[in-house]
Amino acid sequence: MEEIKGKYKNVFDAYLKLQTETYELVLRSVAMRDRLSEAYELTREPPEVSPEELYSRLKDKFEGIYEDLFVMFLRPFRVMMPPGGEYLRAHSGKYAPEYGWEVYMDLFRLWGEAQSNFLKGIVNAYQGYSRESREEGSEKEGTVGQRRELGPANLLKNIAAEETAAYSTTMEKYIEYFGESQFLLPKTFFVHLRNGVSSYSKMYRLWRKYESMHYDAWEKSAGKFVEGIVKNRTSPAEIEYKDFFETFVQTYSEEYSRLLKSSEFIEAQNGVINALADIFYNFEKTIEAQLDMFPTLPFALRSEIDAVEKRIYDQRKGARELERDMRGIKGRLKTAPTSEELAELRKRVEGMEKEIKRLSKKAQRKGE
Amino acid sequence: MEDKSFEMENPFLDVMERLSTVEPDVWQSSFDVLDEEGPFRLLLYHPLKEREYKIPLLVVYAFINRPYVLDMHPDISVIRKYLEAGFQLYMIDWGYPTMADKYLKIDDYVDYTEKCVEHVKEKEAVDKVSLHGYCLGGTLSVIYTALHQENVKNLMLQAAPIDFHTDNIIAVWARNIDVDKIVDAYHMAPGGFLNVGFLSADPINLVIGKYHGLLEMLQDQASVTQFLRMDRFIFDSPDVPGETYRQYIKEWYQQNLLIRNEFVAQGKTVDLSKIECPVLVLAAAFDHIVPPESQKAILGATSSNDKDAYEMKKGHIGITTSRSSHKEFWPSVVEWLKQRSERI
Repeated sequence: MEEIKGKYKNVFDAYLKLQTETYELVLRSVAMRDRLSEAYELTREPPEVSPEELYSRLKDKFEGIYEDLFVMFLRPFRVMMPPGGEYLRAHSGKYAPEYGWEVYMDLFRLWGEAQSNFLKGIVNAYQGYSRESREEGSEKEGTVGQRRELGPANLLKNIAAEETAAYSTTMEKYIEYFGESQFLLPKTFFVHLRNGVSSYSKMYRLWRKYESMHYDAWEKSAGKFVEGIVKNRTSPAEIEYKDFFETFVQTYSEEYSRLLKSSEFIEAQNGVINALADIFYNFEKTIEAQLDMFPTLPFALRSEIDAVEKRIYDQRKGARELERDMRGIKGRLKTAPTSEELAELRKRVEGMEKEIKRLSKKAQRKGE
Repeated sequence: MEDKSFEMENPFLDVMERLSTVEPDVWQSSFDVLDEEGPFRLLLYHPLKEREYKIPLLVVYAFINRPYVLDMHPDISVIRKYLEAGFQLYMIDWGYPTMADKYLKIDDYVDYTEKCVEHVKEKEAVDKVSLHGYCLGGTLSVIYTALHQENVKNLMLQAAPIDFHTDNIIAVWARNIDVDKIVDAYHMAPGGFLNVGFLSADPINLVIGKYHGLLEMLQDQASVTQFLRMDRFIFDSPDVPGETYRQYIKEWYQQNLLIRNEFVAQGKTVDLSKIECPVLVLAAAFDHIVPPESQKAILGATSSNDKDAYEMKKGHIGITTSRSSHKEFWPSVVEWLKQRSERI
């Protein structure tokens, strides 16, 4: 037992030390390695089997390896699908694009209810706090009691109780009467919500195509690999695991290189990436539109922070250009004369001017 | 080597036990931070011997991944090679940009390179520096040199993309993505997104093949440590500022403006023929991220009379981190620089 506890502690230590991706890939690679070694053992059993028979023996192993390999790559898209990807596949007729609208309306309703409950919780907390204060101070009336009544906590409690009660009532009302909220919510809210939901529907369709392309390439590779195993072996004992593994990697790698460069795959991949980006973009804007309608919102919106950051960036750029100009000026100043040199030059010029005046006077006198 | 992993009873627990004992330390050489601007830093490495060369060397790494790849192992370190040769060595570290940096563009990286060069020139009382640019750091070094040739003594470009219209999967994908959608939605190019992108360009070799190799070498402490250092580097991906990413994909991968002498930086068109200093291309022959033809495109574009390419049969990272490249390749690279650097 102690040994097992020690080993699980090592798992946690490894988790902390390794990059998250490394930890996951090692974990999955051990599983893939186990499946490959089991597949290898299966190929060493009675050799006189057709490729189809061998394929059916190895199918489960290969499917397991497919899952282990691609789960990390396909996770962002699977996560965006309605909860329970497997359930979705099994009931694909039910989860038609129109259903997606209902799912997201539900999500909005749940979000609004959560917000309302949160505010109610704040109100309850203030009320509980003031109740405790009152109970504590009930023996001390007079000045102390008046100070407590006017104290910040009690004032806040009263404000919170009145304002948030009104706010939460408002929230409940427009969640309840969602049809009337078209006059309360900004138009941008509806535009982005509609765009987000239609992007979700689009991604649902594209995702099925994208994943099937991955899976089809995998199946094709498996077929080629199995054919090669059956065709090239003369006796099971001659197939070393090393050769089995290298042939596996080479066969699958060649098939995937063809797939990944194909225009059809690139179009499908870009489609799901774009649809996912559209979902994120539109739902961010939806939430922002709703938050923006509250004048007492205590925190800045993403777009407001972006505007500030842009101003800071522009100022920094201007400052950098000034620094560059100053460097240029400093460089020119290095070759410019010093003040002592200028004073010396001035003295010499004055001396030359005096000499010129003296000589011209002399020339004038001679002329006379 | 005999395959012992078959015999493990609980392979997962045993593997994790093994990995939990390894410390994948990076940044082997010590340095001081001379300047910081936002996420960017200028580093000065502590010398390992008395200085021998007047012109300092400034290493410019890419804004994807981290520069410690050049200094990951005590004995397999490009940084150490330069320090042992007696060069005064600086490095630009682009750091970990955040959402606050989303408006940074490629211009800002060139501006900071300029600031660092000026800082080094003033500190060392020299008129020029030598530049060693790795990957996109090489691309930035090329842009800087074309705009400010008077400040650059020697230019070394390691696996640096110059011509982006190549047929490798990464380039084909980049030419086809809608970068505006990605940047408008996520504001940055998330490091995780870039990681998955690079891995998914060759999932069979980069996952199944690679980690199978780890499981085969578990008894070799040194190999496992180096593997985990590499993995730490590969997955240590800073986010790329959104506007940088937008420009990088549009103007480099999609429009290929740099090799066409149409890219604009610091308000000026970058003309690669303005590069006249000695140029050395350090090419990785098996690079699936930056194919050799992209790396060598600079040779036909500059006006330099002293240009050459040293090629190693390694990949994009292997050229830096493999023992064989440090035996066969890097000594001649350092020698090239020594021959073009004035002794003190």
